[in-house]
Amino acid sequence: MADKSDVSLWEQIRRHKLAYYYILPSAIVMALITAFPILYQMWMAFTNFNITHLRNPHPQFVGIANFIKIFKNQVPLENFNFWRTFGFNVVWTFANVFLHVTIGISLAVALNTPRLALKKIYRTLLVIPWAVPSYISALIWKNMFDVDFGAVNQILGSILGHVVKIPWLTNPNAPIKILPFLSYAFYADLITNVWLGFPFMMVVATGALQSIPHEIYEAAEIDGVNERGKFFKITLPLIRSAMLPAIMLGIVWTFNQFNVIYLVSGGGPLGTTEILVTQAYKIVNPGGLYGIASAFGLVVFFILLGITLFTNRVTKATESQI
Amino acid sequence: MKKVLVAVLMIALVSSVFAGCKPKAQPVTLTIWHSWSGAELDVLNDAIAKYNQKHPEVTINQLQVPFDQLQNKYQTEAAAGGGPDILVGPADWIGAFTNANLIAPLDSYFDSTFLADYVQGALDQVKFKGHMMAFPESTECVALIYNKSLVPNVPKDTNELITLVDSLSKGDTYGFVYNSGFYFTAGYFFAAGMKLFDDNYNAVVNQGDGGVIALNFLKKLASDPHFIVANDYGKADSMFKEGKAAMIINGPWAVGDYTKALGDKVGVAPMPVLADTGKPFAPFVNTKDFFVNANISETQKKAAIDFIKFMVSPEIEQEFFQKAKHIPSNVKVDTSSDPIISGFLTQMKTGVSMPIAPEMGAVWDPMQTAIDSVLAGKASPQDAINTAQKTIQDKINAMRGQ
Repeated sequence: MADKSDVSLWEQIRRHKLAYYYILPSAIVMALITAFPILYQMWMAFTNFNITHLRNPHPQFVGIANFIKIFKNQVPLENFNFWRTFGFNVVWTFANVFLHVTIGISLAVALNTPRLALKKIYRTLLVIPWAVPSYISALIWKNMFDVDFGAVNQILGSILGHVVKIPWLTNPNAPIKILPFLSYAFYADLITNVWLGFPFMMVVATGALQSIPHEIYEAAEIDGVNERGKFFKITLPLIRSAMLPAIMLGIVWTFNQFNVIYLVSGGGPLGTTEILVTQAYKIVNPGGLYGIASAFGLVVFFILLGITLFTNRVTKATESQI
Repeated sequence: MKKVLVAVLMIALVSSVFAGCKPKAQPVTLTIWHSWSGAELDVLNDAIAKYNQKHPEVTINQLQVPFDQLQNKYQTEAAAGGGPDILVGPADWIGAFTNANLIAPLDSYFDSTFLADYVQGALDQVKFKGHMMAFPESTECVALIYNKSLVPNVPKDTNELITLVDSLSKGDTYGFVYNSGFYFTAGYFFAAGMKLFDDNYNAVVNQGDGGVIALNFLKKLASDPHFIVANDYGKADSMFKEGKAAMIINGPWAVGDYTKALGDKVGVAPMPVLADTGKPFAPFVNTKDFFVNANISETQKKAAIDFIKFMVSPEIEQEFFQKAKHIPSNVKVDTSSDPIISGFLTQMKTGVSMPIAPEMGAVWDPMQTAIDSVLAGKASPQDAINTAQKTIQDKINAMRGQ
């Protein structure tokens, strides 16, 4: 817009009046269904709005009391701990995206072998987790993680030859002692979400790999570069520009991955796998604390805004290098 | 030409407004939300069909909502001016719904001759602040449900129970799949001497050592490999139906489906006495009720009441009793010959009436957290009860706008 910076906004609108008349109807609809709820929520965040005010919306103005309650963990709700939830959310996001990307790229490279038999069948099979609606997969995984009758423990038991009773979804303690804040349910959620998430990265990586000309590898072979060198010096740098936007998307998606957390572990046991969005949902239902939930929503918004600005910067920086 | 067309259209429009005014029965649509399933849902659908034979002008839409979501769903929709005409739910919702002005008082619709046919205790429970806020369909409490082919004789106290269960568990058959949900296991908390509220409905769960005794007892059960102790209704339910669980805790609503699966092998008895205190299991006793939405017009209310009266008539209550094993609130239904119902009635004698004040809503989740954190070894019973006390009181204060 730099070329029009000498013209005021009002002047621009006046100049293109007809165009703005054309978008007026949809602008009004957008204002009603998007802008108004957002503004309403901002107002709610500073009041003690609860279930009784739904019929009679005259809650008291309480200033920033809701935000103080959130940061001091004084929300009247069991297992509420903002800082633990936030920390867990960050760990959850990066653990997932790291596994999605590494597994996705490895599979894509493996399937990119020239003249591999049954390549199409493998690709189809590996994309299935992504094709099945995620809530269906999540519910199936939830049942598979049952401690007594779940398929996961049964299969582990038949491999190891004795009864396995890993309390995947019921034990809030940590199986790996050096990571005391990650309960069993975290690993159950992680397995589910990795299974759901790697195909996307694999498809993106496959697309990027196909665009690498074969001559480059031949040239490298003539220069005596081994397979490992080819991967790190040719493949990775050339698919990076395609992978980065996908990784950024993955980070934002996973940060707000409501489905898997809510359906597999339900944020439990004892709130150990609660992420910010599932916690926000619980403040409303069953909590019924609309005012606090609105404030919580604003806090989550600013966190996500920060992450987005940061990732944009990272992408820009890396783009300029290529 | 244009003018003629406009005139014709105007006449058509105006006359269409009056088209509904015929001296025929007005078509009415009633919506009912419930969480009934299996045998109960069959009875409801039969009842709707029977009602439609008498009242073809009434269309009844029923929607089944999972029980753990029904209260929130109704609360949110009714508070925004919507929701169904009729809601089916337990009595402990009455207080919160009345205070939020979501359900209509029903005093004016039922006269004393009609009410004379219903159990007085059930009618007492649906009274809040001097008004009748719901109509009781049945009374319920949890008790010991056992598989007669696996359990030779019912244990008298919890020590006998543990011995028996240890002898019953073989392979993937378990002696007891114990539901650790607070509603199901509350009977042992009260047997241990815990109280929920003082006279002003402030929380007192940490007074005395009742809570600690009960939590220690649950911990003992959970550490025994022959018990499955889990807050997982579906698991206990399906294991019992498959004959993989000799005993479970559940209420009358489930027995209809159990007899379908296991025939006459299903037995019901009071839960064993708590050995630590020698006091009997004291489960919550509450009614399943019909609520009427406060948002609907007077004609809709009348139609809803008419349908509710049909649902609690001896004819339909008899169906609920025979097929779904509900304990009817209608005294004209004779249940004396039924051993399953008498099992629940015996258990009810030692039960406690579920409080219907809005404060009851603050109890469930914090108590559940206390149970879960003790079973997971995350907190000592004393700490868990103290935390529960604080959270319940915080929730009550938030409810009261303090």
